[in-house]
Amino acid sequence: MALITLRELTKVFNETVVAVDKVTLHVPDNAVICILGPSGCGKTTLMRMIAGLEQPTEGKIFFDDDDVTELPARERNVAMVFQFPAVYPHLTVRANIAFPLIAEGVKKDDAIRRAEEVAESLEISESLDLFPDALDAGAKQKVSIARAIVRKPRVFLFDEPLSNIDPNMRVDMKSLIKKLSRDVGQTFIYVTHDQSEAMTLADYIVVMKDGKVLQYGRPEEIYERPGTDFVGWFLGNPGMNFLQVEARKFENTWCLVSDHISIPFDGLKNLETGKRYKIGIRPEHISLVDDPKEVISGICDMVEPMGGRKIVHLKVGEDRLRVKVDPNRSITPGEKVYFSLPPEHIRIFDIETGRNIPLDAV
Amino acid sequence: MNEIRLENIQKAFGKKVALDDVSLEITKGTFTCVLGPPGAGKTTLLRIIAGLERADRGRIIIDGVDVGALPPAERGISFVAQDFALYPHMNVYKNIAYPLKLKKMDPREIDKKVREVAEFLKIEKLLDRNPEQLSGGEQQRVAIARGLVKDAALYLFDEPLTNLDYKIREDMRAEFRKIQQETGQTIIYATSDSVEAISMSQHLVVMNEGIVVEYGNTLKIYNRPNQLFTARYFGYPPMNLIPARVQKETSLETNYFSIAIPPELGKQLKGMNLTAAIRPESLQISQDGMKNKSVVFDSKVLLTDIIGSDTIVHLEGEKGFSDRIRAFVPRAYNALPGTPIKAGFDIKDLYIYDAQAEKLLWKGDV
Repeated sequence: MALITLRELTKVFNETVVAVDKVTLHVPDNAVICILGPSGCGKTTLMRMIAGLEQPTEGKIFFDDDDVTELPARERNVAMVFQFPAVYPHLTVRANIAFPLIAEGVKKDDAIRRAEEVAESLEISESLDLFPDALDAGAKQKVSIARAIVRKPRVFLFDEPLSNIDPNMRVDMKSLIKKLSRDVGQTFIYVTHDQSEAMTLADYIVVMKDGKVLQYGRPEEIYERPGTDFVGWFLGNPGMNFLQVEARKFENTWCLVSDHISIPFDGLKNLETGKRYKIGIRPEHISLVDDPKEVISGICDMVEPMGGRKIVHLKVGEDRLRVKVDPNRSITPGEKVYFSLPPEHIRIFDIETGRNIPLDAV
Repeated sequence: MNEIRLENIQKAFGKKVALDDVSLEITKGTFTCVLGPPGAGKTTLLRIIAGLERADRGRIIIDGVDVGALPPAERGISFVAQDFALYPHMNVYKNIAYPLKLKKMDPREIDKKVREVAEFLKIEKLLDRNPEQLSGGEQQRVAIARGLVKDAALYLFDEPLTNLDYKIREDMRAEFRKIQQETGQTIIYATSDSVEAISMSQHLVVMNEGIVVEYGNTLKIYNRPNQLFTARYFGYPPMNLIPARVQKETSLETNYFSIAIPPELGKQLKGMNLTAAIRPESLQISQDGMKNKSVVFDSKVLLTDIIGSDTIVHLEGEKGFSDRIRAFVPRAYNALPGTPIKAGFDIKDLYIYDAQAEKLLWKGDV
């Protein structure tokens, strides 16, 4: 159990490549924190510094009140799970899981008993007598996870543990890890590029890009109120849609307008008349309507069936929108479609900086 | 003959049978996904079609010509392998242009094609770079570009998006399908990802352990998987599979619910080991009553996985967590573990499989 504090943590490789750029974070105790971002955003480097596998160029790392910045990895008491399973091929699953305990001096019987308990919670009890080679990638990774959680470290660090697993197994592994993190009740730091993993697992999400933290907060908060257009796009399946508009005032009514849309909009105190903005709206918030009165239209470009739902791609002038619809709704490419953009779900971003502009009610 | 036909393809590596009597017909101009778990034989199948591997038996016929004896270069096939290799001494532009240059295409035409495909794959800014300056995902996209730019009778892709970031995959899925629709290329695309299969392909080949389990129109298979393996594998989240039996001829019983069935069906199913299957999206959940569903049962919430606007709600199974039941709710839905809940579905969405023969026996919509 540990509260982790990162203070202005920076990592520069080869004196030129800034992988992590002045990251300051407070990770609460017993929470699952997902560090989410695209390849190359610095998330793995950040985690490797927390683990002690990488020395920061600048900044400090604290576990509770202990400054661990200079501490070597093995003295930090962290347990790690990597992208590729780390198991001993010459040991059975049981011996693999018990190994970290035996290495710590726990009595063999106790270690075995504890290993069996952990195996049960990971649903690999029936594989205890097998050697890792007999297991598929998913089961092997479960053994790695079991080896990590069998001890009681201060922090668990997971680096994309599901990225090499058959997608069909991923759903199950995801909820298993979620259940585990709740049961174990320790600090988990989980690195991923998959927003659905982050949304499912995290108590808090850290969105990173170009070595910097873009946003830190509860999943639903980040999803609902993305701090930048990038965050809006990165979270969600598919992500937020964007349209370019101009803010205008007609007599007493504010409107967001473009060649193709016009939306009366309250609460535009922070906007400038005549200035262009980017508006963002999530695919599930666009409603297709049959009545062509006072609504916006687009041409259906493509339909992606997704099982429990359907993604309709629309062309609206130069912009493209993705709309989530009921799978039973029939719609064909080339069809003209009417839709509305509910003002309460519209988010406004600065075109230059991509930053969200909070809307104060006038 | 406007098609690609595989006839009784057999292939073993030593004692291990990789492909067992695989026969398929692929219509030209369509997008076909080969879906299956690792080790199903997908890669071997593609390599045999491409000519990189020789079948022990069977024929491959492209446009009426048996290509079995032809070397890879003469088959008119473009193949992007999972372990592709870029030419390290050429920049991205030259890598993509290379197959066209070999064909002695007009340089202006080459330039147009390279830039088009680079834009589609969002690598237009990388054209001057060398492969070693690219990330794994960027290299993968260059390999896809090089595969697509060729003029071929058939395009083979072996899990091309697997190593890419999730977000890029999401965009590429849609773009892949679009480019296929626009160009009318014939694509065979191997994947282990159900979401790719359902959202991209017109035709689906489901494989497992070297065998074609099922093939046909993708949506038809989704709506009516004839094999239990397909039901288990093709869906995200996967289908709920619940042990079931018929004791009295008029009802099907599970540990969660029992439903009335026609006596003729009951006679047929009596005494058999059955699996009742329901897609997570067909299962509706509610904390209050549920009037609009014909079958309703009581359960408890184990976990809710909220993924933006969708939620996977895990309900307690007989054994607790390991045999939990999943419901897909197309909105954010939060409930504490242990919350009593009702789950309901329509008979039309119920599938009954023979648990031994793993075959579909009955679907509620007939």
